[in-house]
Amino acid sequence: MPLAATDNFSSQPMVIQTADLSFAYRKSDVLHKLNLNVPTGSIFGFLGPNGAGKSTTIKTLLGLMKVKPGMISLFGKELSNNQMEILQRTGATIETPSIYEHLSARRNLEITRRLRKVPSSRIDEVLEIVGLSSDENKLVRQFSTGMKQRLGLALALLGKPELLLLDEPINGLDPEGIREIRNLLLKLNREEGCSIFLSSHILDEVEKICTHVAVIDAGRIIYQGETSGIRQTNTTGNILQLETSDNNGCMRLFPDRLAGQSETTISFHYQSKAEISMIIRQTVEAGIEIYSAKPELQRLEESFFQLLSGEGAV
Amino acid sequence: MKKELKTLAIVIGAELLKLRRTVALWLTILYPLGTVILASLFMYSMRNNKSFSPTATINNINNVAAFFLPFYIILTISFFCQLEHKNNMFKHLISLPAPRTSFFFGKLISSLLLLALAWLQMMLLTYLAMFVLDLLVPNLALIQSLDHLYLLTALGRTFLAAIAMVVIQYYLGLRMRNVVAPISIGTALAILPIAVLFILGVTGLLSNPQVLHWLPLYNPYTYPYSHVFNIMSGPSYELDLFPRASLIYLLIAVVLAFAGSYEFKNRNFK
Repeated sequence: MPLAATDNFSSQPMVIQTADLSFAYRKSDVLHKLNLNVPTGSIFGFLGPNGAGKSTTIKTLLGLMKVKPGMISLFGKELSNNQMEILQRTGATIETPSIYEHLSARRNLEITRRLRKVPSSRIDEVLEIVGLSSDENKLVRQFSTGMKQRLGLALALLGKPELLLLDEPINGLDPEGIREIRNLLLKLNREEGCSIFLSSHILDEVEKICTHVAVIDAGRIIYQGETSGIRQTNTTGNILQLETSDNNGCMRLFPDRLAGQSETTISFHYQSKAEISMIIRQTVEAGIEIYSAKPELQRLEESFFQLLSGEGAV
Repeated sequence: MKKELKTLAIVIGAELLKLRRTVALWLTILYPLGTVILASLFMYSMRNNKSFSPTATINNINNVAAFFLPFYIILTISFFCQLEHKNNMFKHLISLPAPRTSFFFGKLISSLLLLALAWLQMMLLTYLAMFVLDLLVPNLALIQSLDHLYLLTALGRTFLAAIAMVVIQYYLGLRMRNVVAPISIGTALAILPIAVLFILGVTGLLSNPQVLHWLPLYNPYTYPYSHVFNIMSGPSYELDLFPRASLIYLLIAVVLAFAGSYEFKNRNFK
């Protein structure tokens, strides 16, 4: 069932576009007519439950899997005809960090540096960026999960990419590691203008850093748009909590919107800022004093699960 | 073309960088060393035998080398390919801006370079063994009467005979994620023909095993030792670097390599 609007930013330049992208393993559809639009300069979160097709999408975007039918365009150029040029401008991590564990961090970077044909000095730069300079000669098998993730990111950054495709980049990281990666991605996006496409299960993180999101389920995109927009597709989770001089009187004003009542507060559902204003105005006009008003937006996680369960259909 | 060759050279360089601290590199060091030590100890124990000579020493080293060669190749190539199956390395490589065929041929050529390195070490260690044996048994004048061309050709043809095996094992290693699978298949291919002949001969099921002399010859995994040591009629040496069968196997290797690269180029990396 197609859900909320996906083309509200189609006038923006797109770093990734797919048209009717489909892929099947042994006659079973993994991706079904995906039409992705990732704006240039965005941090795009790609959400979905396990097996929804997130990693497969990233693999098709990198040309690891040949798709037919369907079209993939990166930087405005068709992947099938411009693969080398596109890969030169793209950095990626796929599933677990791809690292030779019997080698040091520097030697891992040296191997990829040669294949990317970038100067040796870039190794020091990326080690500095990901904060692994002091561990460059340590064997990767001695690295923690967080250090491996950072080294994977360093490998992706070697070619000074204009687009980063990151598959679960914060998987297995502790809160400190997640914060470091989050800040790093925000820095790369803001300072280097790098577009970032990342898949993740950690919805809080996606909410914190992504400007845009797409939700995929069973190989179909069920939402695509700005991160703030996902909440507007289903606003039953938006709650306005009021503390008034007459909570019962207030309840009688908006019986259909009632979300809950406690000893001192009363809560109403709202869908837009205009409705917050309307609730407050009508309460005051009814002669009821408002001591506090606390609007709470529905969290991305709730919107996500509502979308998956089909409750957010529009 | 020049650009493709340059990329191929870069890929080979990158492949060689990966070899540090790998089983593949250790095997490449230990296989010639073990072979020459084993053969030399045997020859030293035979020092009072009339057949003790530089040629016999070379033949002995070559026999041991040919016997262990399939197992060296099976293990080395399988573990070398396994490096790319661990931690999704293939996916990382393929997402880099270089043609897939460069990765395929780069790793294949690197595998062949390991074989060449083993051969080179075998040559040098054979000279060293001759020198040491010469010191221990000076009356035989091993160094003075050593036939350098014979040493080069005998060991050279054994290693050249293994090229088809390298290509097949390389493809198996690339195709199978679990390292046990290519090792098992390779070992079965190396052992089965000999085991069949042995069992048929010992049990008396085949009164004249000579009729099956072609069995090891037509298997690329047993060809190296079948052509330096005819198990039916004893050792047989010719000063021919490229016997006709080796040329045919070389041709097969080239065809298999291109077929493998075509499959690799079109493979979906799931």
